[in-house]
Parts: sequence; structure tokens; C-alpha cells
Amino acid sequence: MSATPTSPTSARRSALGAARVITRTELRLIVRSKATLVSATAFPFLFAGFVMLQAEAARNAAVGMISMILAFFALFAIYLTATTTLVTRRQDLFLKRLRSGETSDGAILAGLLGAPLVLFVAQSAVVAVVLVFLDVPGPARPWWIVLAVVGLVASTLAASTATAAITPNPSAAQISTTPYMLVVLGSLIAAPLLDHAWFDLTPGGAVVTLVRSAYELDVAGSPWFAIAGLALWTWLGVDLTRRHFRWEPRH
Amino acid sequence: MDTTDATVIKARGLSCSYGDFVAVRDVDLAVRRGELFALLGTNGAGKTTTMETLEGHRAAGGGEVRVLGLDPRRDRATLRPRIGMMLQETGFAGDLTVRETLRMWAALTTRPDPVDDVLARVDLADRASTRVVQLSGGQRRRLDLALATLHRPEVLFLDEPTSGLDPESRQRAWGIVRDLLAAGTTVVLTTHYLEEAEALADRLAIMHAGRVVREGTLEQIVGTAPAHVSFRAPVIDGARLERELLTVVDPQGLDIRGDQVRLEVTDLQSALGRLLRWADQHDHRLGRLHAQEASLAEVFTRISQDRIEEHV
Repeated sequence: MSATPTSPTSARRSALGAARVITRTELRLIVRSKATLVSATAFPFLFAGFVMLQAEAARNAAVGMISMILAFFALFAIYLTATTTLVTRRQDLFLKRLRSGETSDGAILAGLLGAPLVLFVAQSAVVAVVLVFLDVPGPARPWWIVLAVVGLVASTLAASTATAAITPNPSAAQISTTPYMLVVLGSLIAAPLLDHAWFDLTPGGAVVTLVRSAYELDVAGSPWFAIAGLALWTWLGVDLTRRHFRWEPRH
Repeated sequence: MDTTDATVIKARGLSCSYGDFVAVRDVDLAVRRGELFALLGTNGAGKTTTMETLEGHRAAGGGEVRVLGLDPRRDRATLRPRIGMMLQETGFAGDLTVRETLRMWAALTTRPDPVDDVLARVDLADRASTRVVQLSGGQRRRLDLALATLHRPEVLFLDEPTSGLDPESRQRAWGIVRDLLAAGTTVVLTTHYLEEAEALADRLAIMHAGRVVREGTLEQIVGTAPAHVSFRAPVIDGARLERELLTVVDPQGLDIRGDQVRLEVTDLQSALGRLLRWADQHDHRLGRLHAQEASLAEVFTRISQDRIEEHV
């Protein structure tokens, strides 16, 4: 037993270390849950494979393909997995369990979101290798791609916690995730077709603009506007989460 | 609010509400270092809300709470490594094994005991490789206890720790709690099992409708309800017997049916002394003499009934 009071510094586990432990546990649980594993890996790869098959050697098609793949991976690996994980863990009172220990709320959330993030990074890395193998040319301004990935990941993580905040139970997550999925996929498809600057304020349109900018293709808006769009979605998600996220199910 | 070294948990004027419903109202509590303090009450009495406020899970709607001199919510990061809690309702990741669950928790805990020691302590060593989803309710409760005591906390909150446990597991859980008490841990316990409180608690409080209605040692609380004395009446006139018993013993209640006499008295020792002296002086034989202090269950039932009558 801790007979004497421990100092705050020595008593506190580093938030990063705690988040890593929770992420490792979540990855183990994802591997053991067939349904989550399939939705988090097989679906995105199927979509990516389909898009690759459709893509011709043309540069525009390759660029469009990259935007699509990034969005698919963000939606399936991060958004769906993170939302479902948060809602399920809350319903199972596992969030309450985690909060009964020493780990801070921030570290718990970071740890739970870490697992989908690892999936996204792993999937993106595999596809990057495949793209190199297929001789798809690299971007002239790669930093726009990096910003697209960072912005997309941030806005998707924020969207997943916000969606989890308003989703009462795991079965409701199938419905509550639909609007954001439609917004992302719809804007991803509509942005290149309608070619309007305002699409930069949508998650899909912003990614299209940033990836096209990386490849020095014409864009209707501007990459800075697209970054502002992703920042806006991130802020919206964080704000909703702050106001509505609950650690325990509603009774 | 001052929390002396001897008082490790203190609540003053604690109130908690859920919307318009006041779950806890104006509760004062003081738990001393190294004691087991039991919080009893009927369902909905406010035990769990009080407990979760002391643990820092809920914000107090009013009043003040200190645990080890710290605010459980504001000082959560400093306090949590020093306390353990077994919540009434909580979950596990069902697809993890028992050992994986303990390892994860150990990795999130300051100075945990070795996982194998803890598994042996709660008698789950043979289930170490079993997924949590496959455990029985009692085994899960033991795993719960293992997580709460993994770091041998200074203060341990146990919210109905033995619910769903078979008698043997319950005894084992009590053994673990006794070991922790012997090592100096302060324990706050809520339970529906009154015999658990009688067996373990140094002091206890009974809550009803969000308020603490009795607090003290078992003797003090039991002393608030009348003790019972019964005997077979000596062969004398009934009216005279009643008159003499009222004079000599001054009972709270007297019931003479046939040759059976039942007395309710506040101070059993003194009343019994007077009764026996009277019998000796008058050469009365008190057949089948039986004297008994009130039980905790009796006090508990009386409180519930009194409060119900108050509302009728």
C-alpha cells in the first residue's frame, strides 16, 4: 500500500504513456473483433483497389484517386471505427472503468482514438508503396498532401467524437454516422465536377483542392481556403464534443 | 475545510441532484484513517451518488468534499494514484483475457502489485487466460476487486463489492478487505448485506431518501432501537404483574399474552438488572428468560418504516 502520499509528478503516469497503453489494447481488440477488422481494413482496400482499377494512366485520374483513397481510409479506418469504439466502450461502461483509474480524460480519448489512427497510417503507408510501385508520379508540392492528411485526420477524429457524443448506443451509430459520410463522399465526388471555390469548405472538397494543389493542377478555390475549411470542421467537431460528450450512457 | 490526518474523508453539507430530483441532501460524513466505514440504505437512498461524489465521478451540487485533504474532482490527477474504487456498475473489454485486463490496468497504475500476485489474491489464477466475456458474474466482481486493489490504495471505495458473489467468494472478498484494513487502508463500503456491515464496519451511516439518518459505531446505532426481553410470567395476577413491571423496569413497550411477557427496553443491561433484582426479591421464577439487543436489520427496517409512515 502507498503508505505515504506520493508527489504529483511521480504519481502521475505520463499521458502519452497511458494513451499508448490504451491504443495497444484497442488495436488488440480490433484484431479480435472480426466485424471491426473487416470494416476498418477490407472495405477501404476494396474501394482503393476499385479506384485503382478505374484509374487510367492520366495524371488527373491518379490525383483524383489519391483524394478518394485518403477520404475512404479516413472514413472507414478512422471515422466509423472511432465512433463505434467510443459508443460501444461507453455502452459497455468501459469508459467509466477507465475514468475510475489514474488516466486523465484527454489520455483516455487520445488512447481510444490512437488505434483508428494507427490503422489509417498503416493503410496509407501500404497504398503509398503501391502507388510508387505503379509508377504514379509524386507531387511537386508534397506539403499540400501532408496538410491534407493532417487536416483530414483532425477533422475526422473531431467528427467521430462529436458523432459519438450524440449517439446513444452502438446500433444507433449505423444511422448517426450516415450524414457525415454523405457529406464527405458527396463533396469528394461533387467538388471536381462542379469546380466551385465554396467546395473548399467541405471536407471532401478541401482534400481534392489540396491534393490537386500538390500536383500543381488548377483549382477553383485555394489551398489556404481548403485548410481553413478543414480547420472549421475540426473546430465544429471539437466544440460539439466539448458540449455534448458523455462518458457514461444515458439512463 | 480542514481535513485532519485522522480524518481522511470529509463531506460537509453535500448535496447532489439529477435535474429536479435531489438524490443527496445536506450530508455530513467523516471517515477516519484506517477504519472501514459502511454506508447503508435502501435502494435510491443516495449511497451510490454519495460514493461517486467522494470518488470524484460526480460533481457535488452543493457542499464540500475532501478525500486525503484533496478535492476529488479538481485534484483528480494527484488523488487517483492514492485511491482505489470498485464501482457498482462498470465494464470490461470483454475480448481481453483476465491477465491482459490486469496487465493493461497495471500499466495505467502507479506502483501496481505483480499481476500474478493479484490473480492469486482474488483466486482467479486458474482463469488468467480466460476472456472476460466468459467469466461468471462473481468472477467479474473479483476481477473488479483486483483492479481496485492492484496498487494497495490508501483509500478504497467499494460500492456493493459482494453483490452476486456466492458465500465462499464473499468470505474471500471480506478476507481481502480485512488484509487491506490491517495494512492501514481506509475503506468506504456500500452494501445491501447488513451482516457484511456488521462483520466488517468500524462505523457506519444509514441513508434514507438522500439523508444520513443514523451514524456511529454498530453499538451506537443498534442502541438507538429498543432491546427485547422475554420470559414466562411468574404465577401472579396479570394486572399486578403489569403494574410492577412498568414501575420496576420502565419499559418502552410491554406485551403480556397469556403467560408470555415481552418487554422493549432502551438500556438492556440496566433494565435486566432491575428485572432480576425484582424477581429475586419477590422470589419469582422467570422461565425461558431471553434478552437480546436490537439488530442492525431491525434498526434498518424501523428507519425505512418510520420514513414511509412519515410520508403517508
